[in-house]
Amino acid sequence: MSAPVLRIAGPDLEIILEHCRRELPNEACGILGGRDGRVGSVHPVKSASPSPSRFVMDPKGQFRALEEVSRAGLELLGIYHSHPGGPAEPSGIDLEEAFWPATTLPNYPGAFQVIVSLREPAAPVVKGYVPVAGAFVEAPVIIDHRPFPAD
Amino acid sequence: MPVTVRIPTPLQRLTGGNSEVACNAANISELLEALEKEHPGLRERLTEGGKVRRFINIYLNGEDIRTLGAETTALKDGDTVAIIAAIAGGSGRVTSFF
Amino acid sequence: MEFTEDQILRYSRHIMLPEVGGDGQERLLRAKVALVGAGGLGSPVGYYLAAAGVGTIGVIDDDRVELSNLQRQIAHNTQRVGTLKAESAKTTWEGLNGDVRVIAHPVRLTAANIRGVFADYDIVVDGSDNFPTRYLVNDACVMLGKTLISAAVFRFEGQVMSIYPGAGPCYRCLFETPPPAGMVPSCQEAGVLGVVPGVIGTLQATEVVKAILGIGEPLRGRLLIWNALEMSFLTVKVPRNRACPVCGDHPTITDLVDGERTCGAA
Repeated sequence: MSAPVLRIAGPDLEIILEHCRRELPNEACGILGGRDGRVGSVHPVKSASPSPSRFVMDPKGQFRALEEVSRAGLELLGIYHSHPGGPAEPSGIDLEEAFWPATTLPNYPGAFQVIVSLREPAAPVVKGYVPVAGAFVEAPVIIDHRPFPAD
Repeated sequence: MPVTVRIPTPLQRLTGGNSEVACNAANISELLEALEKEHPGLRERLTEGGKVRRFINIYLNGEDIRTLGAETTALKDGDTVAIIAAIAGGSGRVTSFF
Repeated sequence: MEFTEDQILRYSRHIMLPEVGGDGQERLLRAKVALVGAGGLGSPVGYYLAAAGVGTIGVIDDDRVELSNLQRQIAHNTQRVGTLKAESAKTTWEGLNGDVRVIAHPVRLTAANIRGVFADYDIVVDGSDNFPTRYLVNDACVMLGKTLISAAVFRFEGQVMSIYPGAGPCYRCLFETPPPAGMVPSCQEAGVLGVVPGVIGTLQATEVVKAILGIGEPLRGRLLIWNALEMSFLTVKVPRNRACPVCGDHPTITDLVDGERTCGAA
């Protein structure tokens, strides 16, 4: 099977980019709710200790976002975060944090990792990945103009 | 009604694939012991030196136990304890080299 | 217009359609259509427009034919690997129909040359494979008032839309600025089922022929999305954005600008 594709509507992508820009110079993070590879909702989450090179989702905010996703009948489709000064590539820390320690098991299998580089704030770079056996495999992210499917 | 415990995906292999298990315990510490009895290997992955590992968030009915009593947080029947891996990362550098 | 005997035979299946007739065929022969790109999309577009007798077809492409193109770029062939796509397409389409004059423009479109290149054509078909060109072509067509048939393909799906400046939305009404670099389509190898641009390109050609003949309902204000695996066709309404920076009531984009060529960067 080809690498899975993450589809997102223009306005939802804008929410992500706006959030990432707002948090500069610190890393922004958030959760994407959705289904079948399609983003249905974007949930910015505070970082517990804001920093330009690190983020840890505030536990309360993380739980709330996951609850919102679940209440909307959606699934945890993805996690996004920004690299204010670096490329839209997973760093060593990103890799470490995505898998259960001393294993190659993803903490959130099936969740896309979306990384936004704001190295050039006027020209953000957005890339998607999926965690597979201890590594990230690049997954295409595409704008989808179709309305999110109703239940 | 015992306590319902939600298990993070990477550990579900220790609970026979179940994402939720039931447990009887008076507090979080006892819960971890009880879980270990039923599903050997769980406690070692969740704790270090008797404390819950930093990257693991445990919520009692939606509240982070760090804001309650941590491992001493009391439990009662019907409670839901969710064990959820923290979501974190970094860009791996303090300043860009541009 | 006086048709030769050969033309009456060649276009008989058109001429016998009441909606086309001799008048319609004459319009096709007088039409001038520019194709941006002679690749996966451009190949079937040019082929069917040549078959239909579109009298002048401009093909704008500065690339050369590569082996990996031949899985879908049917205007070319094995013998032409290494030659200019614009020239290869010209040979193919003029070979199909001697009534058609194919003008090869082996150039890359830029803000500086696009008005000049488009000047002699009435309809533009976008078969490009990158966002900067797509937006440049859109903006130029809006500013020049030229009908534009725009399309895109990816893996097993494609989409197509017709832009009638002044009478409907443009590409920026659908998506105001190019998506960030790193997103599809990026310059990395993205697979596509060979038939997909074949179908979508033929849909583009359909819209061109309808525009020339003035028949049927164009995909104006509608984005048609096809998924090959599901065999589903879906149309999404695209309203004209009154605040569109290029075609809106108060345009803020009044100059053509070359987009960032981000290929290879991310």
